[in-house]
Amino acid sequence: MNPLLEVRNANLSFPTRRGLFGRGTAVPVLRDVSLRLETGQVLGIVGESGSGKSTLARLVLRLLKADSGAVLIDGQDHRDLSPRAFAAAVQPVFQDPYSSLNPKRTLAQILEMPLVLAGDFVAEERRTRVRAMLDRVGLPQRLLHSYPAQLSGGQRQRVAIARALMVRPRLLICDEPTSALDVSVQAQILQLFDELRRDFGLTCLFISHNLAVIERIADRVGVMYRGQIVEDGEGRTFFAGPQHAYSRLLLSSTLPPIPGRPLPDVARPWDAN
Amino acid sequence: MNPLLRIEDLHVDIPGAAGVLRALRGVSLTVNEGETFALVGESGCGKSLTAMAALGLLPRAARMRAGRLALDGQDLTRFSQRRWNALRATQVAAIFQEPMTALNPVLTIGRQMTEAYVQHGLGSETEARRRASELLERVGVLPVGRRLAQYPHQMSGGLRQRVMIAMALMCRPRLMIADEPTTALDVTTQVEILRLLQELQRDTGMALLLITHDLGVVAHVAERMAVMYAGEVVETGPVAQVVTQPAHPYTAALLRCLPVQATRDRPLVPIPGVVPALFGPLEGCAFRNRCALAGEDCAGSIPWRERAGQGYRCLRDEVPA
Repeated sequence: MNPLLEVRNANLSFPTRRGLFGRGTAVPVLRDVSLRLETGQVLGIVGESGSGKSTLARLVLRLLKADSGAVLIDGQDHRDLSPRAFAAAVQPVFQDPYSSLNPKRTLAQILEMPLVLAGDFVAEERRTRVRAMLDRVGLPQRLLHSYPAQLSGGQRQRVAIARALMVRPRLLICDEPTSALDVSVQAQILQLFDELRRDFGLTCLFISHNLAVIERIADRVGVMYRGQIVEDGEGRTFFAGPQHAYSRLLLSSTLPPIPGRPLPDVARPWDAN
Repeated sequence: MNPLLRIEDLHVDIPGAAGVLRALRGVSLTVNEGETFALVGESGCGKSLTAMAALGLLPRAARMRAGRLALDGQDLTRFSQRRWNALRATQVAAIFQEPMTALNPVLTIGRQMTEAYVQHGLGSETEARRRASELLERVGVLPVGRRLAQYPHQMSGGLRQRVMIAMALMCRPRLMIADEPTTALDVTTQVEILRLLQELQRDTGMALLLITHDLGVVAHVAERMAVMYAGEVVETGPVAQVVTQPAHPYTAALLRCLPVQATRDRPLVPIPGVVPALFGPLEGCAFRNRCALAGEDCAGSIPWRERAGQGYRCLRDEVPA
C-alpha cells in the first residue's frame, strides 16, 4: 500500500541575487529530503529556523517547486493533480492566524469558500456544514457573522483549522500552528487536534520548533538540519534516545519548568573549524 | 538584599474608543540588587506595560499613578523627561523581543552603540568606540571591526540580540530590563543568550528584570518571580517554590497546560474561558470565571496573603498542583 504522503529525494535551492555578470550562486534549502507519512499518522518535523522545515511544507503544498525529486500523494505525483483535486486532498494551517485569514470576510464566508471552490455543494448544504464545523472546533454559533478582527488569537486559529477541514482533506500540513499562541490557548488547540484525530482519523505533517509539543502530538519525528533530514523515527524511540548529535543538542536545549538545574551546554563541536 | 527597583500599587489606565482600559491594577514588586527577577504571564496581562512604566516609556495616552516607583531610592514618579532620558542612559537599560525592530535599520552597529554614550557625556567618540569594541568582543559578535561597520539586516537574529545586549551594557546599567529577549530565537540560541546574560550579571553585578511567558526559562535563570494576570500580580515568591508549589490557581493552571518534554502521558489541561475585559472596575478575583476552585466568595474583595515566602491573592488555602 502506498503511504498517503511520500517525498522522494527532494532537492530545492533558492538563487541568490545575480550580479551584473554571472549567475549568482544557488543556496540549497532542501537536500535530498525523503519521507513517508502513512494514513492516520502525525509526522512531526523539528529543526531550527533556516533548517528547511517551512520550505518542506511549502513544497508539499505546491507553493514551491523542487529542482529534483518528487512529492507523491497516495502514489500520484502531486503536480499531476488538478487544483481542485489537490485542494480536496491537502489543506494547510499556518502559524499566524492574524495574517492567514482574510480580514474583510466573515467567518461564514471564510468557512464556506473551500466548499464553493470544491463546487459539489448546494448553498443549503454549505451552510449546514459550516455550522457543524463551528461546533466541531469549539466556536460558538454567534460568531458566524463576525470578522477575524473580533476574535482572539485562539479563536482565529480554530477558524484556520476549521477552514482546512471543511473539505475533509486527507492530509493536513500544519506549519507552527501553535507557536503564536499563549500556552493556555496552545493547550486548547492541541486538545482540539487530539479530538480531530480521533474523529476524522486525521493525517498530519506537523512542523514545530517546540519539541515538547511534537512529543505530545506526533507518532513519528523527523529532525531537519541545514536542509537535510538528519534523523527520523518512531516518536517514543526518538525521544528516549535520539541518535544524531544535532537531535541530542535540540533535545537538551529545551528548558523544562524544573528549578535548580543549570543551563545546558549547547556547543556544536561538529561546527568547529 | 538591597532593593533596587521598587514598584508599589502601580495603576495604569489607557483611555481609548471603547472606554478606559484598566491595564495595570495595583502592581507591586521589588527587584533586588544583582538578582534575576522574572515577571511572568500571558499576552495582555500587563507584564510589558509594567516594564515600560519602570522605563518611563508608557504610551503617551496612558495615565499612571503609583504608591511608589523608585530606583535605588530615587522617586521616579516625579521625574521630568530629561531626567528619564539620563536615567535610561546611565542606570537602566532595556532589550526587547525583536532586535530587528529595536535597532535602527539605517545606522551601522557602531554608530548606534556609541550615539547615546557620547550624547550623555559619558565619554568621547574614541572612548565610546573602544567600549563598543570591548563589549561586542565580550558578547561574541566577531570579528568586531567588521561588525561595527555592518547594518542590523546583515546579521542573524541571535547576533542582533547580542548586539542589543552589548548596546544595553554601554552605560554600565545597574538594572537591565529584558522583555521576552529569547522568544524569537531558536532553542539552542536561546540557551546561548541566557548563558551570556548570566555571565554578564556575574561580571557586572547588574540586576535583571526578565519578562517572559516561558516558565522553563524562568526556572533556569531567575531567583524570584511574580505571576501576572489581567493587570495584577497574583502570586510572587522564590522561583523554586512558585513553580513546584504554586499558591495561586492561575499559576497552577499555567503549569498544567504547559507541554513538558518526557511527560507525554500527563494530560494537558487547557484553561477554559478567556481573560475578562479590563474596562471599568473589576470586582473580586479576575481569574474566578476560569477557576476550578472558585466559589461565590471569590466575587468579593480578595486579600493579599503571605505564606512561607510566597505572596498571593486568593482565598483558597489548598491549590492542587
